[in-house]
Amino acid sequence: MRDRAGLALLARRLAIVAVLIVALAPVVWLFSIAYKPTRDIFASPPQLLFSPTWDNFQSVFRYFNLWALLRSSLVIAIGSTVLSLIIGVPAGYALARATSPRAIWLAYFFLIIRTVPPIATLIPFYLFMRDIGLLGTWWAVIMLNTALNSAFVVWMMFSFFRAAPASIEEAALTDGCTDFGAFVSVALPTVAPGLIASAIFCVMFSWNDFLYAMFLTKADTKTISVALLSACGTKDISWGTLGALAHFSTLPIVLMMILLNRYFVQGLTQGVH
Amino acid sequence: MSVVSRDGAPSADDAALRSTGVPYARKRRLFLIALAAPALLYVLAVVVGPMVQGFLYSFDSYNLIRPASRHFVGLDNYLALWRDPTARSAVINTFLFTFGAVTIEFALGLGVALLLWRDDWFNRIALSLLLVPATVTPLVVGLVFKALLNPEYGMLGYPFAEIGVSSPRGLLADPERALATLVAIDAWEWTPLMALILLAGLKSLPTDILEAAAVDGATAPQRFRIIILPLLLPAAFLALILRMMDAFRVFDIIFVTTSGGPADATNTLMIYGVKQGLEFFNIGAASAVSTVIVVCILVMAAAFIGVIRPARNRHA
Amino acid sequence: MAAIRFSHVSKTYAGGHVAVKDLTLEIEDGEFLVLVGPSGCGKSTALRMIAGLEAITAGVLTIGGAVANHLSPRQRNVAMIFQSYALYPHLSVAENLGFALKVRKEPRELVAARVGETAAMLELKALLARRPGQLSGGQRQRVAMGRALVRHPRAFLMDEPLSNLDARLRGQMRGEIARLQRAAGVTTVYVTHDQVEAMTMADRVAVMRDGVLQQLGPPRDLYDRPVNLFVATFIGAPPLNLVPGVLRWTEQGVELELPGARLVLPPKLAQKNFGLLAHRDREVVVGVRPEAASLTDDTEAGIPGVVAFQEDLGANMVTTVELAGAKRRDGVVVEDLGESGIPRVSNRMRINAQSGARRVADQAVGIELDLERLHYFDPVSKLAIR
Repeated sequence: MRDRAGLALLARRLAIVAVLIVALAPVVWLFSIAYKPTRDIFASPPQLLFSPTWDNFQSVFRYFNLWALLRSSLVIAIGSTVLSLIIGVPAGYALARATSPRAIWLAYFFLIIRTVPPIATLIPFYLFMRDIGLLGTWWAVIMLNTALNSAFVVWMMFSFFRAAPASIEEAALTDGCTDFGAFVSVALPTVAPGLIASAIFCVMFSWNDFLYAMFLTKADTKTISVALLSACGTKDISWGTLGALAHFSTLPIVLMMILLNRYFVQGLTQGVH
Repeated sequence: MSVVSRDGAPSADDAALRSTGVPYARKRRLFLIALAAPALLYVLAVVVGPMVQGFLYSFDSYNLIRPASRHFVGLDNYLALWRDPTARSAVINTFLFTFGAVTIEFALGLGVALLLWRDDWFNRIALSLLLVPATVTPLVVGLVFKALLNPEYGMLGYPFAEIGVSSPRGLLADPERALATLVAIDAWEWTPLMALILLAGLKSLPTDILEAAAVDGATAPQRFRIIILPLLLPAAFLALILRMMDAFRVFDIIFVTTSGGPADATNTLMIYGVKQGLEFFNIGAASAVSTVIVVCILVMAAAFIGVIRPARNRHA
Repeated sequence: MAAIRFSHVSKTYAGGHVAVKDLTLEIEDGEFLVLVGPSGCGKSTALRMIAGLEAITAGVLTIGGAVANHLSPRQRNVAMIFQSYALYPHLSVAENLGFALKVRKEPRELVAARVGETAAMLELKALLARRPGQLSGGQRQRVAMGRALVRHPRAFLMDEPLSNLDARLRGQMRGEIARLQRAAGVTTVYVTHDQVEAMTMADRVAVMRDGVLQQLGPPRDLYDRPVNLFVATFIGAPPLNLVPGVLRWTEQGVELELPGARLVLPPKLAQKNFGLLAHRDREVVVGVRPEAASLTDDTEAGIPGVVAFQEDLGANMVTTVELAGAKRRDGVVVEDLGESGIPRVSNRMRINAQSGARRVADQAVGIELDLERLHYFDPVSKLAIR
């Protein structure tokens, strides 16, 4: 009996490992080609082994102002995250504590707003930014990202606040807090994991976005995701450069995800129930 | 809120009531509205506003190259879409891609979730690693698989071409298989996320019902079919809808791999619309396409809700 | 300290559901009033209306003489203990206790002093640095009480504070709460579904059902002179026995016809209770407290019956006896319960004796009733016949 259960567990774990290999292999490959000499990258048939080189990193530093790119990405990610949290979290709270049944429709509205196709908003927004002279600045991207990210934050915090018992806030109210005081000193600390999860998602969306960044920024405000696109030439993509760039564009998010995995998971599971 | 005493005349309580200032109930409602207003107004201004504007553009013949010649043409843009065979095939491709991707991601995701159902250290680490594909931006995902599937130097593409799974030009250059390949790539990126949400759904199933079923003699497949799946669907419902709407708007992956080709085999509505807007600068046509996308998404969501909601209520 | 007064207060929800209907109730300053009733009777809603957590749809609520309908919870200065205790999970016990004082910007020394004396009073001194998550149920309950005591509020509102404790702790805390309330002298409104808590702790009890106040009075009044069938069967455990009977006026006096027996009532009873006269020759529901009846082996004395089963509770013995015409289904005795598990009128009786002979099922017995302690109810209006 014990052997059968043990065998089943082993089989299950092997299957999981197989799934993990499929999931992670392409990502590992991406980072590995940064160290592969171009010659070997294009070798046909493909070679698994190679002698590593720093060439690709050198060309990245040569052709891209990496620090400017990272700075742009960081400013946009942090800026839109902070703004999204400031306007999104209170809205999520208000919808969760609303007594009117219409509140849930508003929550769905915020959820759905994310699915608006970018072209629907991008072109008019582009023209508007051009008209008020903000085109090409970080602000343009931050403004647009904040709109979409805050909608997501509203939905996520709505789910978290709904799950938090209202009786604790009621206790704070009877103890003498004002409505706002109860929100800040009691409700917010209770949903701290939700706040972190929302922040993680905002950072991820803004950092990974390239469509909005590409059209709303200029040369000096480009983000690193946009630079990734420049790694694609017209004919053959310089894969080595891509892999090197990915160390700066993709690796931070991957690491953040693995380290803060708990909040990511909690945020997703809370937000869908 | 007045109190009328038995003989019909307003009582002293009435006056007392009225003199106590703004009622707390109203103050609280205003407080909640004030908290929600900034987000609502901001989203309306930055997203809905331009969207409505874009919608209005769709009724104009508006080209950025010749902005002065912009004029109202009514439904012409939509009719042009209807008549254009490229647009029609784009619509079909988009629906095929969406349903293919969501179905596969649901099935595979459920399988992975069932594998990870037990909570131990192995599964927890596996879960955190499993989510890595979801964190890579779709743009990069597309590029990575473009390289991997290249028939000459790709780690996958070369073996595929050698053993005949793909033609010598590679899977992505094959009009028959390109769309399916893209579905597979999309599945690689999003199945983990679906698995995570389904896993959460599985974990939230009441264990006593499952134990009761086991004691009653139901086998594992029976328990799955009769209890787990029906109870899981409501939890999965939202995830499925969101994934469906996102899959419909797929862009990045296709853009960097096939750009709609070969021979429009992977042309979707988004690609078609972006080409109109950003390659030909035909704002009117692009706006018409984006309106069509929005309508399709809403219709799909409504149909999905219409089918699933009765099932949800039955199992509540 | 304040008196609390409900004056024709109602609460109707948006969907049309009426939680509290025309409640008029005066709670005196310093009194311990228990609101009791089955789930959904409106007692918690009434309590929350005092706290300001539910808006009042109609009527006037005054606290300390001033109209409170529109005041925010903060302005009402009442302390509430929730069923789930609602302790602040991210604060320590000391911070939980001092929260209300800190919010009102009281000086730190005062806060520390009050927290200290409350912690001493409730034996929480050793736990001051811990978080609620690290406490047991009983400890959390005491912190919830401490949070209320620290404040010197105008009233204590308690929403089923003991229902999450195990039976032994509940019994202990009942006495504690009563003692603390008497020492503090603060007006207390206590909500529970457990009639034992109501009977043992209250100065007065208010029984509610479906949003309507059934009866208000000291516990003994509710037990001895219930105003309707609901109050009569809700208060008291084991519940009041209900048997169908008919009153007849004969030459011998007033006769009470019960299943299988005819008893002559003492003449002064009929004289005291005028309502009985109006019910002559009609069906009434007779209420017999389980301890107002006793068993003998002589089936001729009193009402004849057959033992169904016995429950030996240690201190007393409860015997269930079937009377003539009791319902049986497939040879098994059937209990007749109405909604909320309140016993219906039936031909079975439960007799509660302090000790008693052990009897077997199907044994024939006679039930002797204390005729002075019978209750009579109109079967249609369910009201007591006075």
